[in-house]
Amino acid sequence: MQNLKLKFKIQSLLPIILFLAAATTAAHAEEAAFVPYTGYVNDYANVISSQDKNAIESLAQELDTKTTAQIAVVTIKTTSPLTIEQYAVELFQKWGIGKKGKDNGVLILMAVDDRAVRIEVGYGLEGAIPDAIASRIIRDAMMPEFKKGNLSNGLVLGAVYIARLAADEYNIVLSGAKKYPYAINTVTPKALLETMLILVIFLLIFGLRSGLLFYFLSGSGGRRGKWYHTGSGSSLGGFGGGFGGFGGGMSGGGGASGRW
Amino acid sequence: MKKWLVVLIIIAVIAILLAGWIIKGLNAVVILHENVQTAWAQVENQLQRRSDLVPNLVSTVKGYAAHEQGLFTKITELRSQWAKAQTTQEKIKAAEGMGNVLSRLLLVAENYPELKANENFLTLQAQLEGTENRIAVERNRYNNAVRAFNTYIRTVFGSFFAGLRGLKHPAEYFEAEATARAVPKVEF
Repeated sequence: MQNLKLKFKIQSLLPIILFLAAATTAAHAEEAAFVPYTGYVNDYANVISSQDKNAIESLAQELDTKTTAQIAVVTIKTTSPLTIEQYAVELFQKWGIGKKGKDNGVLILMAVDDRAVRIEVGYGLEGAIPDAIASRIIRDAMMPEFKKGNLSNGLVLGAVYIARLAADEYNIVLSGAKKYPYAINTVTPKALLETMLILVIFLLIFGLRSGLLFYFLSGSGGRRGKWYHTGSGSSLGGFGGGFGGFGGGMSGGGGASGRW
Repeated sequence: MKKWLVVLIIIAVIAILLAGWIIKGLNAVVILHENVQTAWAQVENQLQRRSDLVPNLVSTVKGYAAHEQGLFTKITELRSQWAKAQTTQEKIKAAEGMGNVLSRLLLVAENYPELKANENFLTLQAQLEGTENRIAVERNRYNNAVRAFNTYIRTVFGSFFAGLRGLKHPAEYFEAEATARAVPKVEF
């Protein structure tokens, strides 16, 4: 008798339980899926050639080793239901790109089906990569490639320019970036040399006059009005071959987006 | 003798636990409140940054769209309204007003192809979009901080501690997403 009663109870509860399970999973389906990271390049939409992937990864690795600044390149199908801006800033925070405290990370995110790309810049690199520059990189270097269908190449160029700017912040030259053109503002080598010469002379004069002070003035980033952190540190070890996880940096919505 | 000692120890332990709990509670109120303050400072930072972009934007657009004078006047008005705002409420109101007019201005700019090709304008547009995004992010973080604080001071024990610290007043959400996100109507 007892067994029958119990059985009956379970049987009547089952539909309720199933309904609740379905309801909760349905609710979860509405949220965006934040992908996990596997390295500097995370090509979930499968648009990056393996050659380009290696190029970006070695560049990012060089940057990380020499300056602790980190670049992450991510491709996914869509950021729905969020906008790419909303998705990027949250992904950045979840992964913690860049070193905690320095916040020197950059995320290049592409949503292939949305035909959207975003460069999300961490607090610490906002001086080196201001919004206007990020916008130019997208407009002048990446978009032309995307419009031709060369998603992979566009991403490489974007990564190269970003890496260079980040390296400049630390007065480092990336050997991996040397073979790529400097062409965004079509600065000819001659003009560049002239400008550099003028700069050097100016610096010598200025440096002699203000001595040590000059050294402290150069090389500092552009952290604007950042007062506090709620950063989540997450450096996982054991990824092998140099990538040791991201350092817990944060971004504040800086950067630029583009749609093609 | 022994019984008396045990009772004493038990009372002491309870007293210590109680003290610890009270300290935690009082600290929680202060920490959550402080989080709200710092988050608001970040929001203000970005709103100020946007306000600083306005004069440059106006002068650039003026060169191409001189007869949109009405809009320029409105923006300048709102800019001084923002500068004069004192309370959080006033600031939120001024910020929202400016956000609306700025998006109207950018929409209007779409009608002027020479303006859209102007390098200066493109730079300003990028800066403006970046700032708007930053405002959205800091605003979101601010609202989260407000939610944490407001919820805590309404809980049974939270309200008790908040009263002790004199922080019973709930913080204001930076809301009105509806008006900001609605497509602005361009009037001529």
